[in-house]
Amino acid sequence: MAQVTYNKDGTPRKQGSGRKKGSLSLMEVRLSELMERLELNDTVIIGRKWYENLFKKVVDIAPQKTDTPSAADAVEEKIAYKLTTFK
Amino acid sequence: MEKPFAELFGQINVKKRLNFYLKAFEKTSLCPFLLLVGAKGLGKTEFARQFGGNLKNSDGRNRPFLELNCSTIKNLEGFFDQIHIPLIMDSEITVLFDEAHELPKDVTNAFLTIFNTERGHTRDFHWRDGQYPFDFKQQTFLFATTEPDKLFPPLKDRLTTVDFEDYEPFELAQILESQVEDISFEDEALLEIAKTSRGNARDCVKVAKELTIWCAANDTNIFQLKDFNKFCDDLGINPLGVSHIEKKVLSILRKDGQASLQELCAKTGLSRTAIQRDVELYLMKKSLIKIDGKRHITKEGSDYIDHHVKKKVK
Repeated sequence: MAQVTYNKDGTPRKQGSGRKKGSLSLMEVRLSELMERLELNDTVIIGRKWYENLFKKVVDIAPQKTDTPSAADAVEEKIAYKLTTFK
Repeated sequence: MEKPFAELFGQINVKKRLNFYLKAFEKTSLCPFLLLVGAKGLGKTEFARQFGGNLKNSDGRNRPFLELNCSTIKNLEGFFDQIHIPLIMDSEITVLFDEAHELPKDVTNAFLTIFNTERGHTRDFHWRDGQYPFDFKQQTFLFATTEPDKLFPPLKDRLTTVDFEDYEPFELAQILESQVEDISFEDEALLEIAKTSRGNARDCVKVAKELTIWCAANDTNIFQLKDFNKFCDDLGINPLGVSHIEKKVLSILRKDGQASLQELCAKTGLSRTAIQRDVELYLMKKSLIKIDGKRHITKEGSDYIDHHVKKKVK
């Protein structure tokens, strides 16, 4: 017997309501093919995930921290000494 | 020429040994790696400084003296970059590593190689891509510590230990008198004040400063035994230099006869360690209490409370 899955509101999900294997809403196409039909300022619909993967991550990458010691650390690492010269 | 250590009082055995090393240095230009060991305020640094001041360079001039506080040495790189290369390498100098038990691990390990007891007076220490030469005819190395048990034992083995002793009351009296100008003392008064510095020369110097101020404030330049109580009272000093918490423990024992460590903790609010380390040691040293499982006050302790505490209440 097929396993029953539930909708977000708790009702049982109707059998066969999901996406069938191989039934994709997205497809691969060459940019050059699109450019033959479109102008530079035309709007196109693209997958949100694809867009985020391609662009947003680049923007979100945090700048690399450099190991610059703070002024307090630099003072702390100074070795205390006293040099005496005798006459 | 003035005899070495002439200005310093007490520490007869230390003076003898250091004088011997000074004589040997005159002939050989070499000195063992000395480790000066003693409680705080016994004069380790001052003796090291005067020892350094009596070492001569090959041209006859006095050798400079470099004093390092080991707690500020964080690593070997810092030591070589900030100290060895600019100040020690190729120089004739005496170096004192004060608070030597604070040396970091990598510096300690390097010192095991540098101060190894092998023959010859030169060493080349190789580290990373560098070569750091040491010449013990040009450079004299001294160490000082209050906590020799914390020094890495293999390093301690490479050093020659010179032990400092507690000062006798009459030596402290000499130190005190030397620090105070234009004040005459009754002998007994001087001795009583000296005893408040707990065998510690540095504390003695501090008491001398307070005494100078007290005499000026009271418009006197003669200090007698009758002034001693007023001096102690004005400055909150107890006879024998007993601290207020030590006096409180003595009072508890005088009242109760005996007490366990736990009871003393409850009545003073101090931890077991604080009582054992900071209170009982000095009271036992002065024979004011004894411990045989429980803490008991001795006859000297009872006399102390009767004489110095109860009398005041009257």
